[in-house]
Amino acid sequence: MVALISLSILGVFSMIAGLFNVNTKAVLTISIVTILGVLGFTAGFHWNNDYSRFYDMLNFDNYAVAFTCAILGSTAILLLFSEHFFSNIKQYITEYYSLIIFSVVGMIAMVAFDNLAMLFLGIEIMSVPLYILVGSQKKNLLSNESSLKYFLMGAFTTGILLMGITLIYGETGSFDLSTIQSYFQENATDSSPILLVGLFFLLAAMAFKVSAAPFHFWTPDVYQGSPTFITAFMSTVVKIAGFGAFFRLFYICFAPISEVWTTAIWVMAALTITIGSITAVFQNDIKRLLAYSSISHAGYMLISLLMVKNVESEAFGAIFYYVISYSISSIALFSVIMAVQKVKDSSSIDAFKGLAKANPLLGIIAAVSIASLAGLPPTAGFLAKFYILKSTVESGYVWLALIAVTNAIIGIFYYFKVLIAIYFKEAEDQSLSLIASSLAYKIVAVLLVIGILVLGIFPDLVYSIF
Amino acid sequence: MDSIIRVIPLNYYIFLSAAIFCIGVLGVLLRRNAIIIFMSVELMLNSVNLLLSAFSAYRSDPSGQVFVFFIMAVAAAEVAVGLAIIVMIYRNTNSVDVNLLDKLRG
Repeated sequence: MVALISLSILGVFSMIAGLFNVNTKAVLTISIVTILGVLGFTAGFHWNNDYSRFYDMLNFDNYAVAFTCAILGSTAILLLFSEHFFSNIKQYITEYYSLIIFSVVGMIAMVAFDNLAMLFLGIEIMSVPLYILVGSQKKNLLSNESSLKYFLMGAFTTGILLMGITLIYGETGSFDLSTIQSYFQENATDSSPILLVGLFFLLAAMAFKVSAAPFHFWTPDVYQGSPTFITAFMSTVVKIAGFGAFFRLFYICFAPISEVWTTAIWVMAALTITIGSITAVFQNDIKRLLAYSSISHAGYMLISLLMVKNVESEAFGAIFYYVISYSISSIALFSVIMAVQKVKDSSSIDAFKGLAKANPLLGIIAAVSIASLAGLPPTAGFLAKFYILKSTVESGYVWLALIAVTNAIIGIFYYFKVLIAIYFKEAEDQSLSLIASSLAYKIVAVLLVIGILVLGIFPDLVYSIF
Repeated sequence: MDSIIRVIPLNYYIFLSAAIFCIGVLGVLLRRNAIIIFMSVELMLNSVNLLLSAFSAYRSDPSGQVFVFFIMAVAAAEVAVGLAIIVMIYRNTNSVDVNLLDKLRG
């Protein structure tokens, strides 16, 4: 609640600050400090202290608090890394900050909702600023195109989501999650077509938001066309929020009728992982490659939805650990991409040739984050995949675990394509040695790399908090 | 007010909304003009509004009707952003045909 209000005020503040030409560095500092303050407040006051607001429409339980903190933390780290990106932009910088912050407000509503109305509002508050951010390079045709694609697909999905909510409402008579859940517990055998269609529509809309196959077609285009900073934001923070909402809706609310939807999730997860990792092999553009990689990571996270029969704290721990490790590794890798794009106007893998020799620090950040994304020990990404696969096998989905492991091996192949370009190829020109990073960037980057390794060695820091 | 709505059976509302919703979905999938696609999306949203009010009247539960206001407010915000994006595209390409937007391929 405090988080929502103070972040909304912060968003309005940075919008007005842009009007009066306040120094953008100052606005950035204020934003980061406020976000970190809200993070500390949420973690300190709401943990183990359930907190309902707006007639139970929002409920800050431990699950919501953990995801809120993950969202705020990732946003703060991303904003700390934004210097390379914003150094190329001349005007409207504070508007970027305020749109990002408004989007974060929507995400907090998404992970804390206890009412389908709040889910809808959260998704919309998150998406509408994103449509603008994706198209923020007004003269760039690629940015225009991805913005229109994202907008049309997003609006279409909103319609489907709303139809799903309406049909569930027509069957159960309520938007409230606990009322819906108890309705399902009493009528576990209810299989009226209205309910099934509603459930399917909700599943499709949420799958679109987290870019799971077969609703992933927008992802590569939008990720490639949007400005790199926004791509980083979408593939990490937005993904966390999307999964927070997806998991909360299906794992908690629709658990009593899990027989109806687990098969669909099984197929979707297998498809998502396979399509993501096989298509990624053929990509030459790093942003497009990371888009497919994020699709395949979405598949692993989808698997966690199949653990409805497992112990709740274990499933929460597995999904939260995966989300955190994926998010920090992606942010670290995107920070390198943004640094390279500052001197080279290209996002093809060839642009990264000889990076390690020209700039050893960026080389190390890239190496650790890629190892974590590929799932190699001792990084966090390895244990994240391990926990998910362990519970998959325990729940009896051995075939799905096999598909996931096969694709993880394919994943190593395409991630190493990037790593080979960075370490073993000669640079075509000298521009890479021109990258100059501030001290703050270096400190945060090193801390992030240490974080990836520490999480990989001491997973209980995150895994067993629930 | 309720009695007038309940003169027509609930199933009729469901069929009507489903029909409008399908027209909207088909419009999004088949038409190539960004504005028409956009209108079709609005059609989908309005079919949802109709169905929500019907359910809400039949259940004598006001929360469905309140939800309709949420949808209308959010749809208005989406229209503002969406038309701005379409205008931006039109300025750069002099067209609102989505088939022309095929620069992003992999």
